[in-house]
Amino acid sequence: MLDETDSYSISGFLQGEFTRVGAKTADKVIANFNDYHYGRGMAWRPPQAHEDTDVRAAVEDAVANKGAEATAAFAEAVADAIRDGERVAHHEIVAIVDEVAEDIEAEYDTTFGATVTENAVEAAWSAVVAERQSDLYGLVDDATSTRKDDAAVEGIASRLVDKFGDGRHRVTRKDLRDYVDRAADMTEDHDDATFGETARENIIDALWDAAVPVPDDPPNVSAVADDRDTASDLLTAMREADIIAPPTDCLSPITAELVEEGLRKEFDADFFAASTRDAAVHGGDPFVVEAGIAYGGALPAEGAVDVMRFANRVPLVYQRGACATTDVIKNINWRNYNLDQPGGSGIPNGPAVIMVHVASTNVPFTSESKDAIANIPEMEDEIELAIREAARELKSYLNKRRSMQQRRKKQNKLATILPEMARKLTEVTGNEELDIDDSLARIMNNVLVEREVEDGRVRLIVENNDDRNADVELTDIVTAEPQDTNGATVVEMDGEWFVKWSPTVGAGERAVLEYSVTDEAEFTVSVDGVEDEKLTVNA
Amino acid sequence: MSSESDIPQQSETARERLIDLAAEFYDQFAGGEVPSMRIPTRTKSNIEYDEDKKVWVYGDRHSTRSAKSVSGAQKLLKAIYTIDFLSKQLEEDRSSTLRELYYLSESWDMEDAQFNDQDESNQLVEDLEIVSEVTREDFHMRPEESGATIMGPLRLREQTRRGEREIHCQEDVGEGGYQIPNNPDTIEFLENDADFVLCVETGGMRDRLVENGFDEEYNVIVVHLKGQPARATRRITKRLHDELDLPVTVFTDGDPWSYRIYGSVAYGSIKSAHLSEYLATPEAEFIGIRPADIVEYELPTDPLSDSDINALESELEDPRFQTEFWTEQIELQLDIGKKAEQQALASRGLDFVTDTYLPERLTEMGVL
Repeated sequence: MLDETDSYSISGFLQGEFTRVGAKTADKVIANFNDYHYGRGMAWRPPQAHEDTDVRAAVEDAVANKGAEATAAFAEAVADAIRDGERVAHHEIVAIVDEVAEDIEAEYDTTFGATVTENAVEAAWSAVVAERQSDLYGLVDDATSTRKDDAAVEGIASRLVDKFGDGRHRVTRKDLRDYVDRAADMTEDHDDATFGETARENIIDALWDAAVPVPDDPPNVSAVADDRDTASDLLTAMREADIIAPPTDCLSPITAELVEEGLRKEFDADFFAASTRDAAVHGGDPFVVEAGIAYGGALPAEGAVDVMRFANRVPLVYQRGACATTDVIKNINWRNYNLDQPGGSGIPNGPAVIMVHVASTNVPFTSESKDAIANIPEMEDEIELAIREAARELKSYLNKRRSMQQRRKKQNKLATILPEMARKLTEVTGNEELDIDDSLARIMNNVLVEREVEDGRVRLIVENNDDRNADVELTDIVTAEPQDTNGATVVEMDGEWFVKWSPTVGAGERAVLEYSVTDEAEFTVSVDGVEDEKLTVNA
Repeated sequence: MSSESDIPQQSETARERLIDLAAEFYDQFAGGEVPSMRIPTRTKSNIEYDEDKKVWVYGDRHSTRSAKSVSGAQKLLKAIYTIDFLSKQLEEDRSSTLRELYYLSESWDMEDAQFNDQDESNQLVEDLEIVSEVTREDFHMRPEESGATIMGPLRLREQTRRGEREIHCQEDVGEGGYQIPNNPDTIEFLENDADFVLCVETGGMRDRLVENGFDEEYNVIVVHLKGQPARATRRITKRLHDELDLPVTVFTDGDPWSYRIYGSVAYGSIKSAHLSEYLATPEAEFIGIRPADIVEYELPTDPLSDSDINALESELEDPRFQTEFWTEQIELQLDIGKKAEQQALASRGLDFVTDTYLPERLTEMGVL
């Protein structure tokens, strides 16, 4: 593209050749490019009043033959300008010196030639960088956690000082990475400290943030086209710039709800999940990937799962093995999602159906027959993320099912042991029969619903022995009209009153619903919102 | 904890205690609680010295066995079945051995209530002893006969199932001596002519002492410990000391395991620290073989094995062995790296032990 464009500058090239790229986006790309190509100029804190180095004196010494007054005024102005900013980089000093030189030239009628300004810049820069150790110490200290001891911070700071030797202190992020890695490794070896990946990353970030983008103009298009490294920098810069998401109104995704709905209609399964990704782009064409999973129920448990592929709402029937969708599914470690996968790769086994839909203005088929989607990396990534999103739900469903099974097993076991224990205790002590439901509910971390009736007052007690909140929906069907229902809703139907109450009971807490009935009433309670395995109704 | 007088009443108390325990579980159930049982942890780190009673007892650390988990519920179920069995046994005034309890559990209709091995049933009985504060003997539970014996100038009366027997432990018994019954509290000491009690670890040494007539010559009651002494052996030793006011001495091999034998006679064992008061004889003194004797008498030795060294090191940390005598001796032994058996004394002649070693040591200790 670079070879073919008519544009001269990169900015022009970006805006001319790409839709949806304007001046703003182009600037962002160029800023990124400069960071890669030229690096940033490391900026240092100028010497403070209490420090030995004096910018003014240094500049004054560097300027010769310009008259005492002009030199003093020049040095004063440069030093002031440098002290104004919090940090200053080499190219900023260049700008300052040039600007000040112009002013002084006008005022004192002397000329500041290139040699003089260069000397002045050199002197000011040396003065600024002289104190970089304490500056680096501050940066590293802020970037690392407080647990790093002083010696280690000092060590890494002093080693970094040497990395920034003579010159303009221009670094790319990659250079910084090398500096910090080297300094950190040395510090680890000598000072018995550890700098993990995060600490290093933090230091790099801090230094990178302190550095200032350089104002250099990017090379023109033909220069970029001639040099592969420069072109690669540009490509990276383009990738990194935030470009507005492509329009999706030209796509017709099925949407997660309808994917799930469709699976429900077609398959008699226990569990359904679906996901839709945000739009992404491959080769300039927007696309959306959706995935759905059905599990359990009447689906055949033997053999591999069924993979259903769709492109723009059209089922793909042939060439399953050539399709990117199949490849992605094969490469996912399904054991992580509690599906059986012999050998750790390939199509998983189990009672499941996996559905993938790709909607795009240009679906990258492998051939004219439109049977299989080509292996485009961007598309594969999106397909994988969509499937994983749905699979995560499947995993949590399967985990929950497993824990419920274990709970049921424990419950069954205890349900044989505890009554036996109670029977034996009754026998040994000669006391009357025991009711152990309450104990059982407590042991099983269950939600226990109990009823107490006394003088026309009914108390429904919900006790949550679990370690998480329970949202209980409780309906008490009463054969007489209840009074004072304390916030519970009452609906009458054919001479029966439905008392509805939906408390949220915290872990280890209890909630009580009290109401009164006039007559000898009969009660039937039904409880929703709590799994059967976790519920003990004693009312 | 018990005296020999009214045994029927004693078993009645034991029965009541057991039923109280069951009633406690019953109340926990009735109150809607999760039944649980709290018992002291039975480890080396949870025993402490009782200044008043001069024995080692369990400390404050407890573990709770609750029906919250399946295994906990099984343990409690087993405990309740055992309580049921024991209380019936007491009611009928029968007795059984620990091993019988284990096999009996096989017949229980509930598979969860059956014991997996005898260790489990033994431990459970110990748990019940601790929580109910009744000894195993009062549950009428006995171990397999340990076969430990007594020989010496002592006349006693034993309450046997077939009536009372009066026995003199030198005149009425054979070479083997008088066999200590499982519940020594059925014995009444009548008269004695003894000066002290000598507990001997190995059978060979006991036979040597009896053959050489040591018991007659020095008026000694020789108690054969037979390795780690059974409870009955420790109990009778304590009674000999307390009731007849006889000094007790312990004569074992010179290795770390034998020091533990002394430890359980004198300080009580870790597993039955709840009964220390009833079983331990804190005044018991150690004759040897001391590591110092190995050096002094130049005894033939074996090198310490790795497990011996580990045992010695763990004894250095054992609260029961934190005395000057023991730290010195154990460190000496670790230093010389050797151990010796009682029989090693035979290298100086068969009579060396009775003619020289024991008289010398006993005089040194002030017993003779």
